[in-house]
Amino acid sequence: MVNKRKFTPEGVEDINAIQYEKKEWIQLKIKEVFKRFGYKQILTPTFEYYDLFSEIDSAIDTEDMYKLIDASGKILVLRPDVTIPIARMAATKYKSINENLKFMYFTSVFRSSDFRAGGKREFVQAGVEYLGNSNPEADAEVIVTAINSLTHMGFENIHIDIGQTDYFKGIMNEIEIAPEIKNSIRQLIENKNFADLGILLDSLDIESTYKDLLMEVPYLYGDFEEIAQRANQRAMNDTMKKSAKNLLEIHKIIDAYGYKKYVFADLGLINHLDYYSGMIFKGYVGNFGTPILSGGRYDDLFKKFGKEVPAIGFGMNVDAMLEAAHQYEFIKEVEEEKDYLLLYDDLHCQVALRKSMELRASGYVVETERVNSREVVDDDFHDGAGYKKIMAVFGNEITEVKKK
Amino acid sequence: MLNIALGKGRLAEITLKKLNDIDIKFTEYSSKSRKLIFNDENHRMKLVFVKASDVGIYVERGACDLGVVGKDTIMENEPDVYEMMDLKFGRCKFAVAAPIDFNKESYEKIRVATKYPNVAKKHFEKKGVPIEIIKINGSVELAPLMGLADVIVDIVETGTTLKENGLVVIEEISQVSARLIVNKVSLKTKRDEILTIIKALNSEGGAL
Repeated sequence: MVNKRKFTPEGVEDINAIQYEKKEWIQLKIKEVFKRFGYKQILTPTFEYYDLFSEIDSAIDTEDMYKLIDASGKILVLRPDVTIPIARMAATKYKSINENLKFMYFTSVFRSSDFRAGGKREFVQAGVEYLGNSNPEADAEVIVTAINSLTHMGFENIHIDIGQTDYFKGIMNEIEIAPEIKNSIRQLIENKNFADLGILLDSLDIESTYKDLLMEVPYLYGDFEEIAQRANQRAMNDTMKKSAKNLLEIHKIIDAYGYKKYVFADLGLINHLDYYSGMIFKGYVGNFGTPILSGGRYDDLFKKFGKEVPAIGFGMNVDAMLEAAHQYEFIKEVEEEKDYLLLYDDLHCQVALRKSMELRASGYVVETERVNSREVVDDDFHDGAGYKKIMAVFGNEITEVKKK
Repeated sequence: MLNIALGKGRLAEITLKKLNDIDIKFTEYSSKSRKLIFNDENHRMKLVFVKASDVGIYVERGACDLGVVGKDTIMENEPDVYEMMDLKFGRCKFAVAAPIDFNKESYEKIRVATKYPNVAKKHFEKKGVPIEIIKINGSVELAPLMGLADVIVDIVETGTTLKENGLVVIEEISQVSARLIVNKVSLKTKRDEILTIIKALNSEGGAL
């Protein structure tokens, strides 16, 4: 057995001071925007009962959750998702959700994802949940919040895909086939796998109008108005018509914000259908190869807690954001130099240390160091690396020591 | 500029020929070259050669926008990508093969030797047949002959290799052919460039 004492497990990592500062800067930028949209920060526990997650068809497979067993034998899981605990908290701790509640969070999420592919098992997620508002205005505002937090950081090339789960559900309600086959169809559409979708549909005993429409769904992406109109024309029932109309409404409001250029339609965006109910979206930046944020409407989730609360939200992966920000080199340079180094001898200890507190009170970063005598400083004691100014306190006067 | 990942070998040769037909020419390339990265004449595309089983991960993570890879590799590794086109070359099939005297009923738990443990596992799970997987990296046909396994799961083109080793196909799992895979973000952010390539490859159509 190799002794692992010097290693961290795959999928988790140490964060050094420079990385930490950058990560904090990113979260600060996001938080500024979330706050401006009226969100209040909350936090749920790091671990919860397994039952909370296992009984809800969520985005996470129960296999991917980290389980613990507590002293009484109950199964706990490390927070694999943020939305479900927030819904639990809102449903149980807030007597009535009459007014709109707006929550934001910044927290670690744990998933046993495929870390061989570079995936992380612990990552920081930032996001918002907007509870109690079912209007398209809320949908549009949440999308605008997402875009704004990206622009506020400095991202320029932003691409948001918006879909509507009811459109696909509307088609599926019309055809009678086994749930496993519906699921295969969904996966093939989601992966834009035209070849295999065609083969599968040909093998099914369903009307050709539905086949044609299902074959078209993966193509329904691109320019928002064009696609939403086309989806509307091709709609076969009320559910589908309503969903296409909903997209157009949301788009109109996003346009009113002046954010139209960032959004596109993709009706092939149909992941986690049991969880999302209505508009869903995904966000990308520039050439960064994986989605950087995702979200949508989940009006049915609160029913699991015995409440009727419309809800919408999104989460963004802060670690992925950090990587993308590096790629575009706009991330704030980390200040590595400290402001002051105060050198003093035994005699002037009090003067020097009080001076250091004065400087700190004014917001400077200060280090102090006791040295033996003035001579040490006059000789080549300090090259000044790492400090903006070096001051010597060896008398009543404080003098600046020249850097070498 | 698009990055395309190819696995060295026959799929790459055919893909390059097809790209050549739509005027994307990699003049520097020859099959004997040891270089792994090539640019086309007009700098529309960068070609990188990776191991066939790595094409998926290059495209999934966005290091490459496009890739050409066999359906067998996709089924085994299940990369999270758009699988946009059946290129219709490199055709073969996934099959279960066994020695001629293999009796399906005589085993409690079948021992399956394969280079594709994920494909084998999924196939037998779907059928509800319990198996034990033995991961082999080459010459899978040997395993049943030497008593290491009862059956094999492998890709079969003509069946000659099987025949010469006294094996027969007892079950077909699925058809395999080359697929064009696309990174999920690239399709959105480099839409026009990618659709041009897809359209061109599509109009060429047909098997080679």
